[in-house]
Amino acid sequence: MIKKKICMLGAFSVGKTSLVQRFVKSMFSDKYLTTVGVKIDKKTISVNGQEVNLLLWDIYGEDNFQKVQMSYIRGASGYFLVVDGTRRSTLNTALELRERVEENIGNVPFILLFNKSDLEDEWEIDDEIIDQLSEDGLTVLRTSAKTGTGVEDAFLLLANKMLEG
Amino acid sequence: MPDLAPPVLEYLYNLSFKDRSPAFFLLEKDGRLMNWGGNPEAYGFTDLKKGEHMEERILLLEGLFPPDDEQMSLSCVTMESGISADVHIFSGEQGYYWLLLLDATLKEAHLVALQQEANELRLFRDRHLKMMNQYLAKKNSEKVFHLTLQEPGDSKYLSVLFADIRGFTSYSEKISPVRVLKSLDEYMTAIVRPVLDEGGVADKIMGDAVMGVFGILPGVSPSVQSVKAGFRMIKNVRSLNKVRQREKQDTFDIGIGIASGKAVLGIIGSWDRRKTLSVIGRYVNLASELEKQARPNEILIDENTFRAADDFQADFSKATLSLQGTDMPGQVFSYEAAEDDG
Repeated sequence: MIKKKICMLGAFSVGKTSLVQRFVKSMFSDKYLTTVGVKIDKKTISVNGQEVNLLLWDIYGEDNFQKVQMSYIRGASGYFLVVDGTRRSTLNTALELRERVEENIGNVPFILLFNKSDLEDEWEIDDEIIDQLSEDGLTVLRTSAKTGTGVEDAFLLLANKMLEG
Repeated sequence: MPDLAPPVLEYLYNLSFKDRSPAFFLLEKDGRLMNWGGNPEAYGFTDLKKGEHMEERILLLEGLFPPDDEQMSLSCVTMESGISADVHIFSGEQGYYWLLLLDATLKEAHLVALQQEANELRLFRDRHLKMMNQYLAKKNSEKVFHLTLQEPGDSKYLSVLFADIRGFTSYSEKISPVRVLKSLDEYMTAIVRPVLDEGGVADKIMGDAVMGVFGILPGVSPSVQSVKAGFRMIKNVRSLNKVRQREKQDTFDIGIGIASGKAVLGIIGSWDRRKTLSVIGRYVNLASELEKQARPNEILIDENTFRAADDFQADFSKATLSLQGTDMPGQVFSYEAAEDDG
């Protein structure tokens, strides 16, 4: 069976762990619990009739004091850059991470996820910025780990991109 | 390697690694198992067989093997068994690689506790900065000022509301700062939102108390707005308390005072500092005094507010109070939320 390693990257408290939990276990908890190090999960999905085993690396969130160690992303076939729509600064973190990842593992497929779409009233990132990022060629999706909106689609789309790549 | 006597080496081993269940695997370049030792069972690896592909057993090896570098380490990797381990991979002789696992459960728990507290404080700070910026920033204050006043220091008919979380100060002295801030965040959200939703301005947030001003922005009667905000505050706090009770957390009630009349409105602050809207007058003092006198879940209003909020007069009854330090104009009226309200 084909195996693909996917890394979840982004600032702290953007919902990386929640997205994995929603995708793998169809679960969500409102309680925030920080991730230290990495938690590895797996899920097998079918992409165009082909079974693919996704290995999901849920990596600790980046902040000013703690940069993500690039050895965690070695061997990744794709990655998600997760942004909390209610915190503008998390978009900057995601875009900085993208540069570092590309320097280390090159041009592998990724998707920029604007998470917490259930809290859209509180978003600090407006549609123009998101549209601009799309126009710049980035694949952008809105997700909510809380409601599940867009989560399956995001993983399926990345899996497709990885297989195409 | 320093020349250490066996007892010293043994002591150092016990000191550093004995409680960390070291397990090692000797792997070929393609990930096949050549040998193993230590305590692999601690990580859920039993029935190991020479020649088997360990990438099938150890998920983290996928994509990592063979390593580019002579050695690499990953901190706090939660294994399939649920155990957290520090992972070290380093090259050996004849192109083999050593994979070493050290239990990191205690280390992870310690780091989680520290990181959790730091992150929660940062999130709390961000939320409050956002809230303050949204409602109390210089730009907004000036906008409000230009919208409502011809001259600085003009007076206007306003309703002033004070709300205070009862017992919070003594609670905050006994509990960890993170829990205090989390609780305060929840209660302040429950209290500030009704002020804004009813068209008021959250003029000051002072620790565990809020001052809301109504009548600055155009709208319906400021007295009606302030009373409706008071009702909603109590309802919100009651709902929050139910949730917190279920979660076995401490709960709090609020006391509210409202007074209405002409007050002086102005912006205070030098040009190089953030300016804030300020309301000065006897009704501000009166509202503050009424709030201090209010019992938990009680709203005390002055006569001006009572007369103007005629739709809600039936909800209030006359109260007998002795107010100190205020020039008390007329009667005071009280609303006490029933136990099942909210």
